Amino acid sequence: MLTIYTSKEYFPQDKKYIADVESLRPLVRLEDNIFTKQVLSKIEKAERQDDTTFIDRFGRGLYVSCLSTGTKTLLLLNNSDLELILNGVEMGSNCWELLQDLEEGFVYIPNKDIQLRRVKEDSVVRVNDTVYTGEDINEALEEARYD
Amino acid sequence: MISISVQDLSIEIKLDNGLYLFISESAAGKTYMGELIKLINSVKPEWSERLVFVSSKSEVDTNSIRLMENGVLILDRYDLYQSKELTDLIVQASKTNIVLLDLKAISRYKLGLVSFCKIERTRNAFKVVKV
Repeated sequence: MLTIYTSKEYFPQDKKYIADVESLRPLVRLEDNIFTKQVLSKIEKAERQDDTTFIDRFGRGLYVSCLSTGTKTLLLLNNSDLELILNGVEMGSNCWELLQDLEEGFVYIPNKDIQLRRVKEDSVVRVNDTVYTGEDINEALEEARYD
Repeated sequence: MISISVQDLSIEIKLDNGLYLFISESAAGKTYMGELIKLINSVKPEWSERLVFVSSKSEVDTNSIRLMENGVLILDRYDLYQSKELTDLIVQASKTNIVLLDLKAISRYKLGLVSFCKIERTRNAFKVVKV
């Protein structure tokens, strides 16, 4: 299950926090799965070529290092081997919709206006220390603004 | 407004002096535009004092920012290194320069009057416009 922290006070002590996601750049891979293809298509307007390269919106072949930090964050969150809390502050609002498709991961998003657009009824997300489903996720995120 | 080109690459910033926030969007091209600015500064050093792109605290030269006039200062990834001192400095700099800020969370410090901007890009051209 994805966990979104809106405040650092909820961080569990046994997990390391990564403030700069770009420091994990060597770990970013374009795995051949639906989530990666969606991230590339919706955010980068790009297509996967192989594990380390993609074709950008202008038809150029580029390495994963050229992806936006928001895209890198989503791809790293989808890597279930990483037991880390990633700083999601640099994810643009176009990344938020894809968060609900993640089955694992821990992300810190202090952005006051975060909302999962078009949230699915069966989506399950932990916000800070409580589990929510469907539209309740957005209500929880909204309430967390005033904490 | 500033317009620069090197070979077939160009950057046009169609804004008046002031403080602008990039709209919250990933993959808009900010970092790529920054690399292009660094390239321009290396082949056209006369621009390096008027066109400044920084993406980390270590790249910030506060003395140069204080001396800037009628230039463009772009602070990428500002969420990661915002501070009161630097925010005060860029607010002051925005009175005589175009200051573009990539800040996705709410600022912890007072920014005063801000407008929003976005990048319109084609394969070889970047245009920054007011939203």
